[in-house]
Amino acid sequence: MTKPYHPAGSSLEKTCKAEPNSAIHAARQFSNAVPHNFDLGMIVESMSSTAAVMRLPYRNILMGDSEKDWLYSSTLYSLADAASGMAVFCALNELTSIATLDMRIDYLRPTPIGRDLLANATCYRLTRQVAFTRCSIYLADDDEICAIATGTFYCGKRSATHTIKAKRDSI
Amino acid sequence: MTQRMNAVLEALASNRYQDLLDAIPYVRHLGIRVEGEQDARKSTLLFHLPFRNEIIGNPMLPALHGGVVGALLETASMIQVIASERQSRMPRLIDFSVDYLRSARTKDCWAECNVVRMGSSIAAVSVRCWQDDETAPIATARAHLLLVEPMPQQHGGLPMKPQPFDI
Repeated sequence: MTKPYHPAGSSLEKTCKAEPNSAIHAARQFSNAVPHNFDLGMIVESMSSTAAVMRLPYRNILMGDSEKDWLYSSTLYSLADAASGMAVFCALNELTSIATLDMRIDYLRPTPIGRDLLANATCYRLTRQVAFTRCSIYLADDDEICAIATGTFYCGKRSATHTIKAKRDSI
Repeated sequence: MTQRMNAVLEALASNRYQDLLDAIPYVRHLGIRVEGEQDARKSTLLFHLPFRNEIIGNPMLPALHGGVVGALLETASMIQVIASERQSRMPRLIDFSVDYLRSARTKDCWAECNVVRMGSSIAAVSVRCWQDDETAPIATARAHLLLVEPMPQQHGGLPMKPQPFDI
């Protein structure tokens, strides 16, 4: 029987009350309370009303092979999953429980090691129960995209009912 | 043939797929195991992700991180293609798509692949992941992988290396 893991400060409400004027600070604390985000070292870089940028600082653990010069693809996938979820929280504007329904990633090119990764995720459409996301991943000092991920999330039991419409020029 | 390539072929010859997994730092960090290696020639490999607190993604439910489940399925697809291919060609992921069917509880995960098509340059794989009940998968995924011919070291063009685990 596995004991549930509840790190200190995992409660969103507690976090927001402690830092009422700093959404980014609250988001960073929230992300750090997600064990695997913390384990990989992901950081919330910036946020807007529908988008989030997350940084994955380079560590040797992210290498594809102990002798190779490329990042392992699954580290990009984990970052895309985390950033897309964070974008949904931004769009919802509340920390309700959400569930990933589907996440697809296209690996556009091999990603060299040694540099931080950034994931720019947007929740471009929000219905009452479902959120649609897109996320591009690139190196911090490079404008060529390494991977693109698209996802859908279920967020049914939320208190607010606002929605976001996908506009033709927004994606 | 480089030293690395030889190591891969040696691991294949003796069905030591765990060596291939352990060569990937993130996979070693997650602790993914391959089970039943002795039957690898006859059957599909069985992959095992033991539970640890560090792989949690939702501490409130609690549930595993979607990225970790994805990493297990992605890694399984790659190693299974290497095992099925049994040549020096190495897979590189083109795309990867996961359907999350049930919440991943804080327990061990298992994964098994079905190589749907092994083409001349592309492999298509579907993967299944379950926890307690094999008939109740928590996620399914499919992947397209490009089979890359390793280039000899003395090739006249770019100094290309074999790229077993590149994306």
